[in-house]
Amino acid sequence: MKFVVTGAGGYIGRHVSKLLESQGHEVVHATRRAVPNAAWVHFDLEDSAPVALPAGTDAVLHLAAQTTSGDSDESLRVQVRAARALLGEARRVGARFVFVSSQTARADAPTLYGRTKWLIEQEVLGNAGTVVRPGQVYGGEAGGLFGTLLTLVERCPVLPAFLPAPRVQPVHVDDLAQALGSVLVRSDLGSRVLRIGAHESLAFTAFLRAIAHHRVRRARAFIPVPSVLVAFARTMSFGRIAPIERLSSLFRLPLMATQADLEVLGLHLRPLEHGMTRSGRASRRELLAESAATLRYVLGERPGNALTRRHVRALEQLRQGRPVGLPGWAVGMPFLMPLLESTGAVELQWRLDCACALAEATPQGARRFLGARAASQPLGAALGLGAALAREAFWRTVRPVFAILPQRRKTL
Amino acid sequence: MSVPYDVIIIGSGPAGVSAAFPLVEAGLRVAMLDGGAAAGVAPPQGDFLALREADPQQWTWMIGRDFHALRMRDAVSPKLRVPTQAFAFSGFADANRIVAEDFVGVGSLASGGLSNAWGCGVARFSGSEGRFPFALSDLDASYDAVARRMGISGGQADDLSDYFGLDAFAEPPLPMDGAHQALWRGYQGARARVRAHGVRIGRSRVAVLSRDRGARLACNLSGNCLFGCSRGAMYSAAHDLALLRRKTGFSWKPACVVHRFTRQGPHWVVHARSSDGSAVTFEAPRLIVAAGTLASTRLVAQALDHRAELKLQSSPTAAFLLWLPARLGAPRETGFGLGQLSFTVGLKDGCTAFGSTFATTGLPLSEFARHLPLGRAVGMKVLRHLLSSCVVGNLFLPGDLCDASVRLGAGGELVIRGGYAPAVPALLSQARRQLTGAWRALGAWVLPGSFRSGPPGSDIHYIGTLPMTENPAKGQTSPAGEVQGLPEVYVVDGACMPALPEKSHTLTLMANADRIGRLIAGSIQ
Repeated sequence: MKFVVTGAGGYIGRHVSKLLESQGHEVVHATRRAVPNAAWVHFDLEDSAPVALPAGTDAVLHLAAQTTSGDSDESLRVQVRAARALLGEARRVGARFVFVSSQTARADAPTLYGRTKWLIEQEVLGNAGTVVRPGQVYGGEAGGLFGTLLTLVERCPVLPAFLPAPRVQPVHVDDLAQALGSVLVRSDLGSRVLRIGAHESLAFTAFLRAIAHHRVRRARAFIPVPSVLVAFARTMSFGRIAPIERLSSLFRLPLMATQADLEVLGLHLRPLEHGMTRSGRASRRELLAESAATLRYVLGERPGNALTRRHVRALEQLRQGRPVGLPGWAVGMPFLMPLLESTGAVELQWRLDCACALAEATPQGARRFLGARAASQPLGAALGLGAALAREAFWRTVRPVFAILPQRRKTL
Repeated sequence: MSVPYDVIIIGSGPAGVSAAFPLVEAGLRVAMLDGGAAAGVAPPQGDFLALREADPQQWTWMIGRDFHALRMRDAVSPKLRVPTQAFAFSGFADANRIVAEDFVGVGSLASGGLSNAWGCGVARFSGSEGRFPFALSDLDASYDAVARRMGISGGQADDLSDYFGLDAFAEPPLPMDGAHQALWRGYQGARARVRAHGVRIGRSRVAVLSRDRGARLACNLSGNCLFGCSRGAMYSAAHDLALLRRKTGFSWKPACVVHRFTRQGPHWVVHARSSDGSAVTFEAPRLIVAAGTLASTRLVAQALDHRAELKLQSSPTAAFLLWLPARLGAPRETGFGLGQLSFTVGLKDGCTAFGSTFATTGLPLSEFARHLPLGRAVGMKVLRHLLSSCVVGNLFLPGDLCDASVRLGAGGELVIRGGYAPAVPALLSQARRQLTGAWRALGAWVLPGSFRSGPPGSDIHYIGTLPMTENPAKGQTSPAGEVQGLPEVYVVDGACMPALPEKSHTLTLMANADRIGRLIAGSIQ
């Protein structure tokens, strides 16, 4: 499909363009300056001349925004006008319209940024367009507010812990890109607002600590700073200093109920500790431990190293390298895995199937599962069958008891 | 104006090559346009069990370096998961703009088409089964020519000799494995009790060589059937394509996906895209459409701008696991991996079901494990001990029990809507009951819960969208396969067949294509 992306050179824009291109879509960059080796149309928020969308455009993704505030009312007027023109042009060529807004979007938002986003949202929704409100975007190649925070954490040995702490709902930039990709290809969403961010909010201090711990890999001290100081600094600067404006947009963030919208898109957000790493994935060590455990469980003996690495590679290619979240005891004692097996544990089932298929496609697996070309052993087979069924009966008895024990449940 | 070809054939599958032979042999200039996809992963070479025991690289042909088998986990058939066969299926629906709803819509861009990955079942239709608008004897010479070229084995005097009707052309059957020998011996002693359940059993007639033939070597029972035969023992239209390419007057145009054809003056112009995305055109006074039922239907409906709903026939299917308790603990043995014994089941209202049984050795255990209501490790253990005493079976019902249709969409795509007729569940459970009784007479058990019906289209036998009739209306074809409203455009694949019985249809489809090829050759000379 053909997509026009405004702000394709920005933090989110770069990630989403890369994803769309990797999925075989055609991406036309709508930016101020031409992009080498890419389809391009001229687009400038401040340009009153309307943009010309190429014929055959399936959808427009509007990401471009002014984040540094110039003359406040002028900036708002310019951005709304640009969005309106773009909407008209999209309607003319029959393209769907997707607008990336913000968690701060509200009619009475404390910042100009939030009010601008809200006004554009109204235009978009009135024209059958789709609005995406991301939470706190982080990870990947640094940029945007995440880039600012990353620089802050890298440079300052001591960081502020605002009291009371604002709460954020993080979303990895590649997960957001995936969400936008599925919104773009779908024609059934229409006029609606989709909220994309972690279901459970997180204290902003914990978010900074995660940057320090997983990304910068340095210990950082936090000193309490009353939140009112930020409001004071903002008043003193008359809302003219961009970093303070951005920071203050974090306060009084309305919490978003994201679960239903994530389900609409079939999206599972990666955990923060994985997303914060430079690769954006869990450590390979964690995956290796899980793969070794699942393989050991289905084989009934220690899997070969090449087989374990193959299972990890399959998970990296087909499951974005996400661990399933096996509890420590199951990793350490794989024979206890039946306690976790249930029809509801869909992802664990997938990984066990994957383990069965890969394990049997090895000489080790052929020996375990296929049986050597030995003499006929009716008694051995009958005993083996009986033992296997007795094992199943045992676990079926134990599983309901285990299920009522208090425990920390992870998603499997 | 002179053009370089007398006839253009779209598609190199069983129908396309069968139509090509009589035309080329009559001295006509024939161009065959073909998606041209070829195997990317070589099939295993050697004894299956020996490879499984020793080859550390077996995962490359069982799973695939790109983890093809895991990516295709939810596909309906093990065939669709095999990395060595991926080329036979991939890219078809997108390239041919096929949109399937509640239907398994499969096709091929490969040289040789779907016959690269077929079950090799062959049978001859009776008059009432084929419902052709011409005398059944018109197919005799074509059956003969096609069957002799393919190479068929399994011929012997048994209870299905008349049903298959092929023993005149068939080589002797391949040896059976231990489980099938036991069933066969049992049947000799208990024939009357089995037949009391409406069940008849015979050797499977398959397009697999039991004797060497040119470059193709006879089956040596190495057991790799599911993963592809490196010996060429299993028939594929790709073998016939190789024969055709040696003939003068035949031009092969690979890597061409046809997206439409148009009339220009006295000629048809075929518009295709080559694999590098560039547009190519071919011109000829006559066109043979053999792109596979789904793709052919889209091309013809588009050329006619025919947007009515067209009925699509496809066989409702089921599969089951049959356990031979007397063979519990039997050692695994390599052997033929396709149908060894076949059976018919007489059902109510004159309906017949047909099926075959297969060895389990060549099938991965994980194919079964995830369908068992057991923990995975226990499931694998159970199968480890149980499967060597089991065979798997499949079952087909007549295609008119499928309630499916196709329609040309607004954007030129072909939309398939699938479903079964209301009578299907009752017929399948009747077949299950009768088969259970029949197998019990042979000391074999249909494992409880193992008898499952497949989703519509999962048989991959699609026919009847542009049926041949005596007086064709728009969207139908003449007894010579010529499309009403498109002079000199002939449909020769499953799309033009009027009826799909429960039995294997490929040979008849090929014989019909051969017949139409002869008619066209005759009309030109």
